[in-house]
Amino acid sequence: MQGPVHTEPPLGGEGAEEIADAVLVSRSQAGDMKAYDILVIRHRNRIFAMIRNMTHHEADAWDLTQDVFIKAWNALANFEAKAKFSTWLYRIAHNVVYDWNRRKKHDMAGELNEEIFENIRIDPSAIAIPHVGGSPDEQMAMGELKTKIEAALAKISPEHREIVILKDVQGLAYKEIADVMGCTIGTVMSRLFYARQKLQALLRDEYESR
Amino acid sequence: MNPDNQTLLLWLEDELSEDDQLRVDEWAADQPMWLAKRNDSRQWRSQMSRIMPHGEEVPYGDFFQSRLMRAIESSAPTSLSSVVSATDASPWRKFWLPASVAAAMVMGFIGGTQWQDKPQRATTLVTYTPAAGVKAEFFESSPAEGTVIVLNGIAALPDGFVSAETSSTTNAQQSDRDKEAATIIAP
Repeated sequence: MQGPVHTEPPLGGEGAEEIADAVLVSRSQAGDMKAYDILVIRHRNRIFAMIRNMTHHEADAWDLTQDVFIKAWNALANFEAKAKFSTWLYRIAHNVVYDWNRRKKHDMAGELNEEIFENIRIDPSAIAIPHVGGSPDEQMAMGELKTKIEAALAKISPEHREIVILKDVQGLAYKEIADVMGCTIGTVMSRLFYARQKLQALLRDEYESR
Repeated sequence: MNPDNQTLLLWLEDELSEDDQLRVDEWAADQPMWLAKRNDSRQWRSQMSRIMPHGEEVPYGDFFQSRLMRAIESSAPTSLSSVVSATDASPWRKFWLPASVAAAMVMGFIGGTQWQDKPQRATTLVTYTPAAGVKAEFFESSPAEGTVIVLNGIAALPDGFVSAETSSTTNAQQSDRDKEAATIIAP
């Protein structure tokens, strides 16, 4: 007796958007370049945005995004469907940017070592959320505000910058960020707390200097 | 009972499970300070998502894609499919694999002896450039019989630039170069 016939949905065309990442990953793992092409197109804008916000350099971000997807392809055989594909990509992007930062170490001169704060217990009642709304800058044009935030992000350490970008820009949950950065949820909470506090101080200075 | 710090931080970010969320909501109902904090947190995240887009269009998207796929094809001597098939190989396949490889080698040898007299196209790979920061890429299109060498990192030539050497090339010089090129390309 003949078993059920499994027909795979065609790749490309209008239906491509609806094919789940897991299916595309599975086909890519079997060597299907077309499936991987769709995955790249689906995720490249987010990865590029994350890296550009981390590096503040469009050309470098373009090259590093290429590196991310090449590394992802080479490691695809090891990817297990336990994590989301996007989270796995963020993790590769994290490593690629980390290596890039290490090569450009001189850019980090003058940054404080924030790791010393890691073990400090956080008081959740402390203010750690920058207040953008309600300030005189509420009337500031969106583009100008973006420039201010980018400038403030550039002034904090790469670890803090990454946390803010992953949490507040990319919208990842604490657990996902912990997976991406290879640390505990507690560390993520701690870093986010201090990162936001620093960002708040920098943005407040910006408001006051106007 | 008061929620612990970690639960409160997750609550502020709306990351608790539905049950836990309801439980902390109940506790926070008469905690105006905490409700205000959660409101601030939501407002901040909302503003950030409006001001800082989570996705940005990759410049030259088509070029990005074609370059990436070319890099993947050229950088992976062992494809994923071969890795997967090797690990999933059944005993039947393992038995036939050496025989198939041997047959392919014999066919390749016979084919090579029959076709060896046919002229072949010379292929040159540019991997070295004398100037630091200049990257060379070599492209060859057989159907179009075209060869392109892209040099990245060289300053653009001014519009008015005229090469004296090429503009004064004589027929004799050109003929000598053609002969030289033919010598290099000939197998």
